[in-house]
Amino acid sequence: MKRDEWFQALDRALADFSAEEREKTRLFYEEMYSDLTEDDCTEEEAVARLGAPEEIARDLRAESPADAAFAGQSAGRKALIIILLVLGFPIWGSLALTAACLLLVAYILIWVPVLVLAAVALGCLAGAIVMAVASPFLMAHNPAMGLVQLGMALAGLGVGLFSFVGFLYSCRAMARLTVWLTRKTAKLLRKNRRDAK
Amino acid sequence: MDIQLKKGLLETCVLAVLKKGDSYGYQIIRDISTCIEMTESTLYPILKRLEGAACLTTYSVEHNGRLRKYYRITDAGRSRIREFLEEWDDVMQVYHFIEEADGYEA
Repeated sequence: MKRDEWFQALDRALADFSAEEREKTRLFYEEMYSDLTEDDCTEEEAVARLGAPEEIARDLRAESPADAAFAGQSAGRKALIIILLVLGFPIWGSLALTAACLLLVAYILIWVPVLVLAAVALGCLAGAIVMAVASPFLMAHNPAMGLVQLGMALAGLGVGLFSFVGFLYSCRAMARLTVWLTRKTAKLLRKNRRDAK
Repeated sequence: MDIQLKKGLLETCVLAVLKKGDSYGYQIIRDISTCIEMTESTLYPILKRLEGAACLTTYSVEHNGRLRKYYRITDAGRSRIREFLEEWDDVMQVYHFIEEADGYEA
């Protein structure tokens, strides 16, 4: 066997060792090879004296199962992480789901005052219109009451308009909030998916 | 020689060589071979084991444009040699026991 062949075979035999171990072993035998050839050994003789790569790997594996398992440990550790994630999924999954539900509830609750403003606006405006229309008739019958009704109609109009403006503003604020929440959730989901990988 | 027996002996032989002075792989083999047969392929696992047991340390020296790794014995290595020599009395007892049995013809 030629020198390069032998060292390639050594690399292959040590495939399941860590890169560090492979490098150390290679350096040792390269040195040994150089010493042998300096001492008047031919390439073939020197390579023969180095031994069989398979046997070397076997001895090293028997020597320190930890070293061989080290390289395997990365794959094992990966497997462990995957198992833990799978086992843990129900927990963090349901926790995340609960958090999401609570967030949704909070979001819905925030809409309530907005809708109340809308309802008040609608009610007041509708009431104002009805009262305004009816007041001339009431004034004909009872001027004082009619005046009161007109006054109430105007008040209703004011409150209604006020409510309406408030409703518009809060709608805009809610729109901004919704956009912000959606963006945050999307970022969070994307991060989680990346971590899980 | 029995392989298992030889393995144990070789380890201590390597330490003995290093006790006389720091040395490198190829030289260690040449020195040991005057006493017991050792090949280039058997040395590496032994050196690894000894290094793992902190019986030796290493350093590099330049030689002919390449780096040569030298091994130096530690105190732990020296203790190992002493332990081996002390154990030998027990080994001799077993030897005599077997020798006696061998000389016994029933």
